[in-house]
Amino acid sequence: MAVPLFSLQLRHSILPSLVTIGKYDGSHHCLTAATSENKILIHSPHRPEKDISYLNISQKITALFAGKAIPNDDKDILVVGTVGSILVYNVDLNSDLFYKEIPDGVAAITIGKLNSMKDPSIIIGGNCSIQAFDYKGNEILWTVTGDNVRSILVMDLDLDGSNELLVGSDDYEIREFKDDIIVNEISETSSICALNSFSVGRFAYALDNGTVGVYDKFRRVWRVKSKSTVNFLEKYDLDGDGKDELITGWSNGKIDARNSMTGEVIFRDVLSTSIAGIVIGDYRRAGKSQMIVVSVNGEVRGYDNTSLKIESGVQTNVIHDLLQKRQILTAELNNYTKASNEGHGIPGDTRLITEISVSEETTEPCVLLTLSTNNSTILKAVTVFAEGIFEDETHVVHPKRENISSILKISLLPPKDILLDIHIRAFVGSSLDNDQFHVFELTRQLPKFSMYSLVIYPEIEDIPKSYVKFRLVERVQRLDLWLSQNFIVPQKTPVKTDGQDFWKISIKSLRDSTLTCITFEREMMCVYSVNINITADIIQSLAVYLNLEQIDSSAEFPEVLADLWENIQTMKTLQQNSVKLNASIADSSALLKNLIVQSEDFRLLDDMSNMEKCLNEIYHIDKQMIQNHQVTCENHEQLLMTLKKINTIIQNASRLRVNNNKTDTISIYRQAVASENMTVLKKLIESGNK
Amino acid sequence: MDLYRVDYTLLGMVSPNCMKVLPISQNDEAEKKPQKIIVGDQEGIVQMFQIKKGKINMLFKTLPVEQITEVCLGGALGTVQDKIFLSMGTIVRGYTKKGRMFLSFDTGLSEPIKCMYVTGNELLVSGRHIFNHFNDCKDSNTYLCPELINSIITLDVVKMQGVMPILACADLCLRILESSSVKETFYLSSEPICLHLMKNNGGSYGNEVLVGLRNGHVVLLKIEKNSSVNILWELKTQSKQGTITCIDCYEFNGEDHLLIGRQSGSVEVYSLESHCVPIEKYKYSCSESITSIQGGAIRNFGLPEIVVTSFTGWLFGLTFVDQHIDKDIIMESSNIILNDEKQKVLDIRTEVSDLERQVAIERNKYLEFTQKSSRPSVLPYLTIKKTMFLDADNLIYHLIIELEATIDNVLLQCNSSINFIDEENNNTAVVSKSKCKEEDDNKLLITYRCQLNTTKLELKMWSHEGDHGILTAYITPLLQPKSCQVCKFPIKPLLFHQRTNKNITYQPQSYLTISGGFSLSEAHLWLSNCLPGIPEKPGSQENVEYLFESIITDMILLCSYSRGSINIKTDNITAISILKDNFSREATRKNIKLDMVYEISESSLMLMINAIILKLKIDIKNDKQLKLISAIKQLSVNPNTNGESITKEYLELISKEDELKRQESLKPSRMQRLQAIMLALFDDWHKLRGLNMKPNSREDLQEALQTNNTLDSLSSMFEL
Repeated sequence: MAVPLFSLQLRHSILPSLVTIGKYDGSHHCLTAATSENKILIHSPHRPEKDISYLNISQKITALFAGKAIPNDDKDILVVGTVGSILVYNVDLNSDLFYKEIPDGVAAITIGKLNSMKDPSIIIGGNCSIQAFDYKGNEILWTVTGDNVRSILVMDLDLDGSNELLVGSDDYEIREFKDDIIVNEISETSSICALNSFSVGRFAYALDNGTVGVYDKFRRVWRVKSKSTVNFLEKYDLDGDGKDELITGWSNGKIDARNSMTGEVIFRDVLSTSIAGIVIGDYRRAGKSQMIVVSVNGEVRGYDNTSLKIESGVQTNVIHDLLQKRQILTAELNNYTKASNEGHGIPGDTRLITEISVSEETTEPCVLLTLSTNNSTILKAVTVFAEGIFEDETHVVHPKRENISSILKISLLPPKDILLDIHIRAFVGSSLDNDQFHVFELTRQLPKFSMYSLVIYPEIEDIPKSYVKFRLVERVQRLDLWLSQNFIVPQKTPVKTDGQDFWKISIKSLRDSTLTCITFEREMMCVYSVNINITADIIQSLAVYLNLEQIDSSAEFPEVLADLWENIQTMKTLQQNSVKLNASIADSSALLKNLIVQSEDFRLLDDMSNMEKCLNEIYHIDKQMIQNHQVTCENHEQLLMTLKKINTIIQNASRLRVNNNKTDTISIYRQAVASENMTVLKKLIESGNK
Repeated sequence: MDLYRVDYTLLGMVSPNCMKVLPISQNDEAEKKPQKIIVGDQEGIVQMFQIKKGKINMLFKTLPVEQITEVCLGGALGTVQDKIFLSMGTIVRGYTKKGRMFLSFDTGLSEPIKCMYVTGNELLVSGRHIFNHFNDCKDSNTYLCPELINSIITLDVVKMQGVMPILACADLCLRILESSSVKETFYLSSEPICLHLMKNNGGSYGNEVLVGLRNGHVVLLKIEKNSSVNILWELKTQSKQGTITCIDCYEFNGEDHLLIGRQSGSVEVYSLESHCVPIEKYKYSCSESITSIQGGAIRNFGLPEIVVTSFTGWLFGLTFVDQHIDKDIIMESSNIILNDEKQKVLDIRTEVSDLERQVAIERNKYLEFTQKSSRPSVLPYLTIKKTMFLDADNLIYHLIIELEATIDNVLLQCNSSINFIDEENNNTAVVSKSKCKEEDDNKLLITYRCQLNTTKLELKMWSHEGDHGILTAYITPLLQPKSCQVCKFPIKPLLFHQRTNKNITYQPQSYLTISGGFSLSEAHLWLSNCLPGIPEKPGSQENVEYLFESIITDMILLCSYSRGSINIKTDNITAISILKDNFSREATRKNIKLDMVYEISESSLMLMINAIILKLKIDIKNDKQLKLISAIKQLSVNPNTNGESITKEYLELISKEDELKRQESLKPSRMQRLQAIMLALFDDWHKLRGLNMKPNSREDLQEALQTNNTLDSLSSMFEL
């Protein structure tokens, strides 16, 4: 256990992850956190007479960040993000810099210099969208991304002297934006809840499933997974060796510091409750920074390199490890030398055969993993480890006694189209009641489009009407290769081709059994599908596989356009509703205040019957307000959904083509959506420009 | 205070209490040599060694014979107790400290020896049920214990003027024998696991004995010549600290100390006095369970140290750094590697690289074998220590699996539903619950992926009574070639009942009587399939009686059976229903015709309802208060900012929050369980009485169970 430098109690419940620190007067660090009463608490230890101040925020606080945003000013400003707005606040002057309604919500905030910009900007991420403002509130960037943004980081990843934007979102992707363009994507195995930069192109990430790791550029250096979840990531040089360690605050109250190169734990401590946040600052005016840990019940602890317990037995550890290694080796040796050939073992040449196929015969169409042994041995149970496709990380199949045989079928339903590694562990034995089973471990890959089956090319009238078309000069054989790498291809492929310049396939989604047809004829590639998302995915996948830097396609998606229009209309109605509901709530609360005063008056006057009436009325209004609140919540929920749909459509539409000015079009889209200019929107989807 | 650990070596697997520190001989004292250590391992190798400059200096080592189950030190009374006795199979062997075997004695026991105790020329041995006392290797007394024997000991032979054997038995009692029969049975609060004489000699009168219990408590008992037993003190610790596995007394710095090793891996040092409860002085925790603990100066002459062996065979010392010269050595060792240590590291390194080479050769051989041969391959079994025991304080079961090698993962499967309580501190394994398909007959599929260097998995679980199932654990060690071992744990229908020995005068009002053509052993088997804590064999040949208590509702269950008849008496109507169903199922399987007579009385029902309501009220109140607290805390009235706007009552409530939360975690999900018990009672009452439920009455009951106000009128919902 480590010895903290100091500890104190804020005596407030702190919301997880909503902790920051800022030098609001330019010289003194003030700990800032959001409390469960939805207030911002600012703790300024340099002013003992009034060390705690509060800010009331009307909407639910969702993000908090302090940093320098005003050029040529040393003072930090505080950025507060809520479910529907952003407030940029100058704590020192007690004044707002700006306030803006953000219907997409603010889930992540950062401040930094983007690209070649001279001045820092405030970057926020919300519901599928990313926005950047300067300190006056002028929008300088707006773009969309795949899913809800959870974390944002500004850093120079490619070491070219200008900063890139890293965005982690709910669709398990970390995207790198450079000059508004997505230049790289990293697929992870869960939602990315935190990002933090390290020097020279390294950054740390944390996932919702309890994984913490470090990337060097786009190569993962290490990762560890724990059963609790990460609430906060920070970096701090705890051991004083000049290199920052990765500090992780966990939901179970643990904090640990890891070497950023190896992931080795060099320090750990436990607080009684979940960690709300970790910040770095000179909190005691000691001339150097400390690491300050805040837990959800308001406990604050500070650490620096003096907290690190001197490891007393470096040598003993070496001996311990060596002895342990000796034991493991002896045990393995035992396994070989003492392995007998008598008893209930399995034949030495037993093999586990795996086959991945697409099955539509099962009750629910799925990817079918068939495991079998090459002899009479049985498969007692199988575990499949894969991240992102099961509720937890492992799926277990343990058939009933009567149904155990040497063959076992497992149905898999990947919810998203991504390349998946699945790790299979099969318990193989000679008979049911063995008390020992051999464990076969193997890894298989599911291709990106595993949830689609290749079907016979349909008649003309069954081909979907919406399509994307573009010119492509390519050999048919390369398309075959692309197909085999990205789909589960049965032995008899229903590909219609003459092997030269004519190639047609049709795929059926196992999720909603919609058809998508891909044809290549006379140097023209055509994708017919009702689903704009899969179409976009196929085009992007083709572009990557065939190294196409530019695809200028023409598209026609009338249904998507109609959908977009409908969504825009819904959005408008919902926004109007929201205004109405807010007004009614304001009315009711005014009424309530009056009634309470009235009833108190009646009580003082001993007029019980009138008081009762008042109280009755209060009761009814109260009920009504609760109802209203629920409606408001639902309304908001719907609004978010609609906004997400719109953003997704725009995102997919822009992914129908490949070129370098994708985000340019995105801003045009946005203007068109805002002005409800359907002709422009139609043109945009069809050809990619106005 | 903390203790400082030094690893000496990693032995093979060593059974509990098979490591002893030899007392200082006069020679050694003159030469200022440290004390010697004797270890008998599971392969049957006996070795004695001394620690010389941190390295193991072997004094003698025998060839492997058979698993050694216990090591005792003895010798003629009044001399240095440095004769080594060890038990293997049914044989007891004696060695001198020079390694010469002077005794090899076949006890002729019909089971392998499990416990042994030696003093003077008295030898006490026991198997699982048979106890035998030899005087000068001549059989003098035998006793067949109906219950499992956990440990044996005798009080000081000289001071007590005779042998007075004490048996720690699984039915929560000590049996004090006189010649071949039980003179006194003394009941304890939990199952006694190990016995040790106070201050290693039984105290000044030689009649005090320390007992380590399953629930982690230690009791000091004073036993008079006439076998009357008095509790001098009971050291109560939280049950989460774990079962006691070994006890020793050690005098250093002029004071007596109590050394305790636990299954949880914790080692504790207490001050020790007869007249007051010990006070904890030092503590150390390791990740494995402790198998034996001794005190002695084994590294440097006159430097007290605690010597510990753990489950996978680590032998390590714990020193009191703060008080001793070792401090300097430690400070140095972090920077400069001492020469001795350097040599030690080099030695092990060469050994390891030799092994690596050997393993590589064998690995290739095995690979070749798997390529060609179709002969079966059976891998050697690893030792697994598995325990599942009831924690009556917290109303849960502990499941502990410990493996001699590091665990890679564990898969748990069960055909009845079980709830696992996820606790952070016990293990760091990543849990993953898997969906169960209906057609596969699984109710639970969980995998635990263990972190590096885990050899033990500790789990806590509970389930509703009534389900009969088997929990299967597939344990895969991190070893090549990969294999897994299977452990099975029965989930008995009445698993939250505990054997008790309360003297009850009260007679339960409801009963179940079964008669038919079944044998005594069948009746015994049927009962032990339903209730925990029943020994393997029936206690007597005629009428057998067991008394149980439900730890949730506190209801008594009395069962007695003989050939052809079983009698159950209890107020717990649900238990009658469960037993009835289980017995008839078992009988049908064996084609035995049963006559069942049962009577369930209204007074039993009322007793049950009241017992449940009494506890349920507390839980509902706690639950409501906690919900209220979390709501109050959301308000912007904070107790610290403007306390005046919140009533005193609520302020008090908020300050009680931690206590309420602690109480809730002490008895996990008791509220839900009591509600489920009430619903089961409702169903069983109507079923057994043959009454029809009022329409919607079950839903009404469910509703009524949610709030305290409606609880009192609950009994009216039952059809009488």
